[in-house]
Amino acid sequence: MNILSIEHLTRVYGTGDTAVRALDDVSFTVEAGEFVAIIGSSGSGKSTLLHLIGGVDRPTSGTVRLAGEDVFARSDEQLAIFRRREVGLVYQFYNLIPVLDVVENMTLPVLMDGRAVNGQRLQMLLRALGLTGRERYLPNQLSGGQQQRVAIGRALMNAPAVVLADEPTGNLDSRNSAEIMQLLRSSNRDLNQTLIVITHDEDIALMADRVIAIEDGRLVRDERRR
Amino acid sequence: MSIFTRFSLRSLSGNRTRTVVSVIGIALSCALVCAVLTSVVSMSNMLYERTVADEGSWQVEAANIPADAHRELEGDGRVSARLDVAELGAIQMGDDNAADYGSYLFAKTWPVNPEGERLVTGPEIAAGRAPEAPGEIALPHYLEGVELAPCGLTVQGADGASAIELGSTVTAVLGERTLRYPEDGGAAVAGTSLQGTYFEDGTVEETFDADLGEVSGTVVGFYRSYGFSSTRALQGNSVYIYPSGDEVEDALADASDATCVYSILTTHNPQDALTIADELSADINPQAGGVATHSSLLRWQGVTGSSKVWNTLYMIAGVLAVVIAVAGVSLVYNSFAISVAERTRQFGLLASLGASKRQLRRTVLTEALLLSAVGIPIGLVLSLIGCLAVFQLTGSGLAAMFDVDAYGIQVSVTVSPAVLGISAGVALATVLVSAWIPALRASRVSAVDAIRQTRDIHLTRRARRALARAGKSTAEGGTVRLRGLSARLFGISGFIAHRNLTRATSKGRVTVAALAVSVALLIISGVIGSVMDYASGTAIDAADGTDLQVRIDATTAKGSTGAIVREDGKVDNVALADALARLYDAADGLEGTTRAGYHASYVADTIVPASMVSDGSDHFFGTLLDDGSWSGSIYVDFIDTASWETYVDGLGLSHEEFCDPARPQAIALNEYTLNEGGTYGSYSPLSGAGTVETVSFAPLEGMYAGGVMSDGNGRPSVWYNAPDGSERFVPLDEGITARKEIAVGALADTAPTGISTRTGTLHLLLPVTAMAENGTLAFADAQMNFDAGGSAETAADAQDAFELIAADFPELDCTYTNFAETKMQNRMMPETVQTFIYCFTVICGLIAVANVFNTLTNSLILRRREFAVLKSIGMGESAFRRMIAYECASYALRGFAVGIALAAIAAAFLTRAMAYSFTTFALEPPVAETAAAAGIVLAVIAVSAAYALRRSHAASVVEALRDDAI
Repeated sequence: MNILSIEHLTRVYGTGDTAVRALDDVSFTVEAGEFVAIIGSSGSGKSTLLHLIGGVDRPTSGTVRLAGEDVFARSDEQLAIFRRREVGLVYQFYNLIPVLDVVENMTLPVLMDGRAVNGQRLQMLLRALGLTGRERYLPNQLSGGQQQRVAIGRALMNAPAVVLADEPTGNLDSRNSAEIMQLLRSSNRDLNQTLIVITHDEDIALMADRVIAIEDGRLVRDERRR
Repeated sequence: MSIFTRFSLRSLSGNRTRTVVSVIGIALSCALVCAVLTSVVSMSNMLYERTVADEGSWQVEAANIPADAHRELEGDGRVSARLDVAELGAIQMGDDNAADYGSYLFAKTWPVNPEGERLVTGPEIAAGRAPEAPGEIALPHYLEGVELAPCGLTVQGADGASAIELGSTVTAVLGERTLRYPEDGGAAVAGTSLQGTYFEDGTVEETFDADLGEVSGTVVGFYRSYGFSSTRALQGNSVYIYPSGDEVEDALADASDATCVYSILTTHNPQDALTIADELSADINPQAGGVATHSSLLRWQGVTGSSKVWNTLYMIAGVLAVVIAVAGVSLVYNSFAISVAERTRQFGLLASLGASKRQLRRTVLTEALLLSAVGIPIGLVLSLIGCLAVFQLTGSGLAAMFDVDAYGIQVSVTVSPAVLGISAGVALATVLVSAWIPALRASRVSAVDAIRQTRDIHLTRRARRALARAGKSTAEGGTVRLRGLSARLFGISGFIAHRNLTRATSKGRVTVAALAVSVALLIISGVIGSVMDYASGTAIDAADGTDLQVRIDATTAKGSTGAIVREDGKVDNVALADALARLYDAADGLEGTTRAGYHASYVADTIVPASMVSDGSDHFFGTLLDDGSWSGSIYVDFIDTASWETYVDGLGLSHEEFCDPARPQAIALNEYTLNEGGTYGSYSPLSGAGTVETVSFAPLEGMYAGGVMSDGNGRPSVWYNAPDGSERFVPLDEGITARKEIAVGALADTAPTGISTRTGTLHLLLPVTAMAENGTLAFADAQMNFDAGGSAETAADAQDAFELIAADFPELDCTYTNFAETKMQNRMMPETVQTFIYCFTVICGLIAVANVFNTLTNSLILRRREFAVLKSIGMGESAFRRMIAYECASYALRGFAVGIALAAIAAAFLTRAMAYSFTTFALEPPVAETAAAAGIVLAVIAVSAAYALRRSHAASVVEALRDDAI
């Protein structure tokens, strides 16, 4: 089943002479439970693609359908709801809220939705992420790897349709990198969580079911590995 | 240019809004300091000029200076100008002339001011001219045209006549007048007085030896001899001789006590004046002469200060300066605190690359200097332009206020290099002090901060405890829920806002401080406005509604005897009331004027019962009787019927009660302003309605009735005294021959037109219809008032017309006062003061607004990455706005509370300052100012937040998220 379908997606930054075509007519689909790695050199348009899928940015043209629904047909307010319910974003620079502690940061999307936090799921994630005992730590009391695990926890908390990770290990050492990827991989396997990871780490690309390569805003390779 | 200076420049151009606001802030603070100083200096200077014009620019006068001290003065480098007046001896006027022209004249040299100086103002020439060359003489004006009996002053008129005229040649025989006190050991003194006490004939022996030669010359002028000279040299009745050059040397050299030299001098540096005066005092015998300083001038030169009202002005100026300094420091500090916080990571990076703490600190201080280099000159120029504009605008008001136009002095702004220097220095110091703490903070940033991604959060102890508690409950398996009241009330927005407020307190504190200072500034400038309003309003009697005042006396008029004044010398009240009414009717319709009522004032001896005397009225009433009642003279004013009815209406009283001729009831004025020797107070001596008794005292042979007093036993009695100092107390029933009760039905805080409340005497007001039955009171005067719409010209025309009408009333003696002109000047003073206050308020307001804008805008823009994260994980626009609103509301509330506290402290100081001059000043709670401050601050918060959010919005979420590069 296609959870995500991307059609003729184009994003142009600026106008006139300075216009930059960051993404140029990209189309592909992703099936539920798939683990997709998007690779490409710097400035190839990977992050733009991720931000469009995440509903953070709007495309110049083209559509993104998540679970059959057109993401950008929504109003800004609906788009905000979409972001907190349907996708989970993980950044290279963890982007935690500095004044909120571990649990508060992780549960933020749920709290924003005005729903009660599923205590069991929280405990499960805390255990899985190795954050038990650090629930009340503020971000600056955590190491980089721990902060990234909180960010992953935040992305997974709502059990979103898709988890989008932008160079999630770009800032971490190899041991922490491996742990983080292991976590993402297991959520993908165990929870059948669809996962799209931007990376230029060969090892991570090797872990994925499928590798999409982007060059100069165009999709140049789409390789299903298993 | 070092890399750090370049770094400073880049960061300044990088955040242009902050840079511009900081420059504006520095410029405004500098401008305000400079404007306050320039105004004070300009006003002092005007007063100085006025004093110079009036009394001369002398600072020290040494009377009877010895030759040694005089020689020292000649070589004294501190003295910038000096003039000497030599007293040459006494001229005996002889017994036949003494009754009319005094016993002696004193020969003195004419005071010749040094070139380009005006050390003293010479005696005013009434006829002829001042002596200008040796051999010319000026005499007192009372000798003009006089033929003297033979005496020490002989005259040869131009045509042989003996009357003293311009051109007469006079010869004076000079001598030594010696006074001897037999009782006082026979000490001899030359002169007319000893330390200001004039000798009495009985206690002194006087001799005169004509042994000092003669002087002669041509009379070229007569000077006005009455009036007062600020110098001792020019006091007394003198024959002024233009100095030929040797007089001073001779007077110093000879041994006679009757000749002496007055040295009058001024210094380069006013501070030296007192030192020189002290040095001279040691040399001069105070019995024979003495040293005086020109204190009325030195005060304006800042050497001595003694005037009470001037003290208040200085204290208020001091409070203003402190307020400005606090505002300036707050604004600049906030600006730098933000700028450093914004670049923590940059500083960390620089540190990691090997920048020393000193280099980092200097980076921030360089920034401060760069901002000052732009802001301070702008501020100085602004302040001078502002002062020029305000002085221009209020020129005539200032001239009236400082009473300088009479001396031909222009109101002008004094541009003093010292003031500019001090203002620039104060502003620079303010900036450096404000930038110092942020600079220290920048230097302490560790390299680690550059590498770590998160903003540093320093928790307060309370926040740490709260976190620990929460941790325990989670560890025990508690569920996660939004905690706290804010979260329950405002949902996720309130929750995050609350977290931010409680966990990032240092950031919040800066904002709250900025708000608090702004609120305080706004309230204080409002309070200062009302304080100054009170000051200028209390010190000035505006005499509203009266442009032409006619005072009418019935007792002095030629035609009054028989008509109004009865055989026994008392005023016939019925006849007077009738005459006044007819005159008032006749004066209806004078061109351009409307009639503003009339009243007749009487003086009455009264007893005011204890029940009507208010607490704390002793300042007004003086001594009370032992039973708490008061007795003394008061005014009873009878007011014309129309004015009375209007007055009764205006007070909200009923016509039935107060306008029934059969049952007259008085209204007592109960709000008086008293000037008590330089300070002002306002009083309400009565506590309520009641009955006041007017009394007449029995005549007692050879004694005067002095009123009702408590006798030795505390009983009220009538006190009589005699010129020989004897006194007697007579019991009330014997001493009082007639009593008449006046029912006082109401107290009033305002007076009807024409009745002044600027008096220490109680006023009871009654309608004219009650005049007939109060026949025992003593008539003082009557007054008619006309309103000419404020035009002095119309009032003058009306006076001419009224004089024609008054000619038909020979029994009434009219005198006129044209108030329109005085009133215009009086009105200008408060307007002038208010203009200054408005300027101050506006500038303070601008500083406050700039401060809030700067702080809030930057603290929000700084968090744009955080906002982007919140949005990227699904926070909606409205929830986001609610969060910002919650935070701003919290800042506003706290800022407001602290600001009101600050304002209260400053207001307390102001009230103290006012108490120096205005004894009964009480500060009203500044409700309107507070509300205005709230409104302005809320508006600024709204604008700042909107601006900041637009700025952070303009960069899309994506850009904000990518904004990781340093």
